[in-house]
Amino acid sequence: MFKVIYWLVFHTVLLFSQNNIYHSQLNIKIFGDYLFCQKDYLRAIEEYNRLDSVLFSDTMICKLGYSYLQIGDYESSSKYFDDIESLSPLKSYSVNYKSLNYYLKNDLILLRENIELNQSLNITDSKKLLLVSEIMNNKKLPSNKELLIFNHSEKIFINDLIQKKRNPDYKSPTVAGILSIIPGFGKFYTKNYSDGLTSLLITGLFSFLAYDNFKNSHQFRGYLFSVTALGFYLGNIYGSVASAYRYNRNYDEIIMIEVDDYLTQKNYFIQKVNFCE
Amino acid sequence: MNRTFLIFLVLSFYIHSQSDLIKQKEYADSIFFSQNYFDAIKEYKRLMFFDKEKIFTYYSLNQIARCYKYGRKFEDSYNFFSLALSEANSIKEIFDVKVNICRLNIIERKIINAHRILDDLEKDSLFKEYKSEIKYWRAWAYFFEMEYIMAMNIFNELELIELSNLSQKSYQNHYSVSTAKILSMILPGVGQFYTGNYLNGLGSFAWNLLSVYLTIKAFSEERIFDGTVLANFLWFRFYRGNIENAEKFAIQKNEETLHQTLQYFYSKYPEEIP
Repeated sequence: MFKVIYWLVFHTVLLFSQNNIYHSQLNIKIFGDYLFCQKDYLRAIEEYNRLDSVLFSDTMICKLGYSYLQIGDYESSSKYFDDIESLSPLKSYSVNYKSLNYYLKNDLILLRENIELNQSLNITDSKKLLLVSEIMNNKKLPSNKELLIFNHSEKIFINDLIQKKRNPDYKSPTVAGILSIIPGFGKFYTKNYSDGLTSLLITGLFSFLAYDNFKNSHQFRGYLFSVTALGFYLGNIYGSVASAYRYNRNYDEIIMIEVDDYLTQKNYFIQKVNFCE
Repeated sequence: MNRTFLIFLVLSFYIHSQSDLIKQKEYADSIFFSQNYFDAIKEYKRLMFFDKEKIFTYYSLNQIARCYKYGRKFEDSYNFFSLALSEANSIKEIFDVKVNICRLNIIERKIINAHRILDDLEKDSLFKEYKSEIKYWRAWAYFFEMEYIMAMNIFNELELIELSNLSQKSYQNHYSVSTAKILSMILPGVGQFYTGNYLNGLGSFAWNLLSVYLTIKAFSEERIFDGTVLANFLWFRFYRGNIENAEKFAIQKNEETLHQTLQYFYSKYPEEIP
């Protein structure tokens, strides 16, 4: 009897030692989970993708979707979040994260569609994202009733954002162009003081040189400095208009950064599910 | 009989689990040596994760740091070397990690940090037996600093003739940035000639000559305002540009020399340079 057991144990050990047990399906899953919790999403994806589909649970699908989202592959992320069954407790989570994918892709149409398709679920987080997205894309400013989904602190931020969008501190390129008739003033208007001063001094200097040379009958140099002064003058007008456009772009970018920072801090209004407990 | 069986069973599983770890280590190493560093990191992480006894933790962390280093992710490499340091169990392991951190500093041209680490190692009596290795890396720090004479002296002291000759050769091919700048200050274009950029030197000389001529002419004709403008906008611009150019060429040539030398050495002894 013992001989048989010896024989069995010996051969079991031998058989196991042929394969690397750390690459068994179960260990791949455990290790994948570890990588996911270590925020090593790219490697976690690789591990999960090595698993047989029979081992895929909703949790794992969500983890895969989340990992793809973290590495910026929004297409794959959405695909995984789509796979969550409608009866799953993770369904609202997946819908919200799908919305986040569309928000990050700046795809307003799909974001709205995603919300409309899942009206029966608790997806307030997605609705908040949609409103922010619409404000940012200048589509529409939300009504007071629509703002009710935000809590008090969120409402303060959203109202501030709406104010900035409603009365943006833009600089008119036309006004900048007209003001630059006096060299540098267009740039002063766009708060580009150092460039404005440079424009004023250089155009003034070359104009004076042209005048001075003509006065002293140095015709050639007079024309030379005139052409240079004209070049700087036209450049000053063009630069002022460009400066106004740049100012407006910077203004929009600053708002975008503020919103991004706020949303990142708030996890894009989406309630976190801790998969790593 | 039962006891024998039990011992056999326990031993079998113990040996089995050990051999699995060794197998995983070998697998990770094979990926590392095939230079697939991304996957190698994953396999070393797997080794660490399943190694409950922490037998290979130091080794894995060290290898992960090396993977990041070869992948030019120096910040991650620092982090993993630091983790490896906290897991080091012997003086040799501590020394190795510290030297690796020093090597990273040398690569990143943080030479002051590298010297500081080497100073600490030198002062520490624990590492008395590694004096020559410390000197070796000190020489490399000097080499990367382009202090070739200092590097040559240390390599000489360590009787590393090839490296010593290499340092000497690099010194001979080295251009002094200060000399290039001073030459260009004295006579525009000469700094560029010194670094072998003859055409640029000639151009620089000609522009400076022309602008000096125009400036002097304006002043001699008592056109003070014209002269001042020409001096400021033309002559000084070319004069300053000429000095900056000489400096840029000297730095560029020195970098090229260092790069070529390192490439030659790296192809021959990849593990012996930082």
